[in-house]
Amino acid sequence: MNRAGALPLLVLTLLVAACGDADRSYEVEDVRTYRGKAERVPIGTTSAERFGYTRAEPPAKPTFTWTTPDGWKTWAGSDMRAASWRVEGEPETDCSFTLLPGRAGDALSNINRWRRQMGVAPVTAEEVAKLPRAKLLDRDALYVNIVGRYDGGMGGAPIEEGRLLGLLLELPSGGLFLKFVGPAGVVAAQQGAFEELATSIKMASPGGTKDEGTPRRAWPPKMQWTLPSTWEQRAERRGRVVTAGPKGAANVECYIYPLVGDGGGLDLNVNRWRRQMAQEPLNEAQIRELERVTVLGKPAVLVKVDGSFDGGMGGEGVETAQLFGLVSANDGWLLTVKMTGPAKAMASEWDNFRAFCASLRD
Amino acid sequence: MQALLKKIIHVLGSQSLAFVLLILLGVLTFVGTLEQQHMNLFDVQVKYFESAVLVYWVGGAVPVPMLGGYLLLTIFAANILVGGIIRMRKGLSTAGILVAHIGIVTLLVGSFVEAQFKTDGQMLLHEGESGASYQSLQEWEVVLRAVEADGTAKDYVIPEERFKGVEDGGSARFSHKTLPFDLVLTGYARNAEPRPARPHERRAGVDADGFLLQVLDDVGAESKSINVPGLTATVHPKNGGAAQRAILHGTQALPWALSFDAQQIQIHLRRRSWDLPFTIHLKRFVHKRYPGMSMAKEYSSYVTKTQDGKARDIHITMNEPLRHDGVTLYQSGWGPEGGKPGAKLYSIFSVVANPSDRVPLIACIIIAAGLLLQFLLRLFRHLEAEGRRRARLTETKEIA
Repeated sequence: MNRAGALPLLVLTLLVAACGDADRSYEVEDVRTYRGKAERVPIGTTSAERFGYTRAEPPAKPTFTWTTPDGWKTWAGSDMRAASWRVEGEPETDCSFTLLPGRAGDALSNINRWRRQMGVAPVTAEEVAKLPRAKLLDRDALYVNIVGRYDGGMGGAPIEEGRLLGLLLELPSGGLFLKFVGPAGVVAAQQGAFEELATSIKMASPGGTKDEGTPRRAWPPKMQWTLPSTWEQRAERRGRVVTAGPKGAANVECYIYPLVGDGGGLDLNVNRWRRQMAQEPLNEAQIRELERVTVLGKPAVLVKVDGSFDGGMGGEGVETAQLFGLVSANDGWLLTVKMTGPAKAMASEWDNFRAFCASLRD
Repeated sequence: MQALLKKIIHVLGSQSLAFVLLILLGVLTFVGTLEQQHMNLFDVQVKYFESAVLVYWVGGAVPVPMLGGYLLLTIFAANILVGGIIRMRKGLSTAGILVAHIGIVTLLVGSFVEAQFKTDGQMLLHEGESGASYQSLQEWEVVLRAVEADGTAKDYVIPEERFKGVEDGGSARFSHKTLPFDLVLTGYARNAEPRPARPHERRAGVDADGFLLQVLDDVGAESKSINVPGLTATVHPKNGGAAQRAILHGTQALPWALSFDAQQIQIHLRRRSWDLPFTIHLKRFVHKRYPGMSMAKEYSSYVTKTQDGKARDIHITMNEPLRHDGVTLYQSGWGPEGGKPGAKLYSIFSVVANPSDRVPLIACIIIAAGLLLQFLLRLFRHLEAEGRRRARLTETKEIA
């Protein structure tokens, strides 16, 4: 190609490239004066708050007080520990006080973890149940006394003739562990000091352990209900507490579906349902006006939407449908009750749905 | 060159072209109607009737290029203008046709004006509330609201067509001399939901304040749900400060807010909004139900329209819209659904601002007048001819 021909081609190529969507710059042309007085938004509002998710604050750690036994000293252990001690002049000794949240605080697996560290055989749950008890935080804690070869735990030096004293207290929020390990002779000599330390430990602030004494909530949450006389209970479905519906109307179903945490919140769930029914989402003011009832002792919002049901999560769509819904924020979870079906079949079910929701109880 | 121009004008004004255009418009209407099985009405309208060219996929596998409604109607207008007005033989015998053609061109020009300048949307008012703007049901915009310490504010509006092309790695940068930053928009998705980023996504730094946009499939005809867009906005302060990034979504409860000295900048992604030339205050909303049913029989709004300090009470019903200054407010709905007796109700108005809203009526009158004129001329000519024929017959009989 000659140069005269190449130049227009180059210009054309550049023009085409410039017309693409890659990166463009614009001057904002439409500037309007806002009518009225504009409200300010709190600076620092997070995306979670903007999108209707509650900010997940990390649970506060509990704090403790204690009296360090004579001849012992505290030292900076790992971040996982609430406190660490050592017998002065005995660098191989290590006493740790640890809170493990959730299932990590399970007694059997932790005792057997300790036994593994000491090179001895694991025990069964029955054997654990027979272990002696000692006081920790004014509660009866399992007391273990294991002799063996300590493998050093998590990165420490092994102790050929070692001994481990441990107190283990199971709480609903996890497990509390007071573990003292070192050369067998030193640990035996300090056993009294260890038990004194255990009884001196007090909780200064509960932090994340404030639910002590209350049972761990099962999931899905346990609840009871009364079905309307014209309804029947249907096969269990994963994630649902119960599925039910009017007898002889398989295309109408009602189910309780709990969501963890805030479950995305009230607005998100109401508008998700409205989207499923091909309806415009409601704004904050409109949602505030939805009917309120009390369910499981908490305020709940009732929703009734007409439209075309898209089948929800992969179900079959219904052209002329109706959706009844109930959303209620509980402690740590969100209750949702949803009922869908053809509008004709749903027409007489509103009162039944309300009665079913009202019947929910712990 | 002149010969070529003549040839083009000849083709442009030919009846054959008009015939072909009408067939193509018929095919386009048929295909567009079929497509509504898979696409929502708005998308079909944009793809088939507001486009110059398009590709129709036969059976989802074979691409067929087609001329869109916009181009076909433009050519059709030119065809009638050239063939039916400019080059048409002018005389008393064709006067009606000429007027009718002028009416058709008027209609097409009106349609063009409508396509270019019409806006429509909704306004929702609770009893006791006032409104002076309406929101689109289909289009979105990013608005930078600069709020001063005294509460006065300016809106810097970025229409959707400016940023909807930034889906695939592209970006659009927006600036204004009075704004303390440049705004870069990326990752536009027509239908998306924000979701908390997973730990590995946070570690990879692909999130914005712990959130990501989950892109969803466009809503199809079978679902009839609505698309809610989202995108990522990055603010680059002009003073060289660190860039900040956040996700904007159509359902966000609050705008993304940033401080620049005493000024607060709020960044909204909202439905496209237009101001009305007047303010509407909803005094009372009335609805009646059919006996024993929840279905509404009749609903209407008692409003006060205020413009330039002058207030006027108006009753808007389903069949009696408010028309003023090229804007029409129709009573189109109400809420809340299932509202109990005594509940605070709101009224929904469909708002249409169309500078050519009276053009179809005027065009139809012109076309009707033209056709009537043509029929009358024909009738007169026929009667005249008939009179002459009878006179000749009478003369013949008399001679015989």
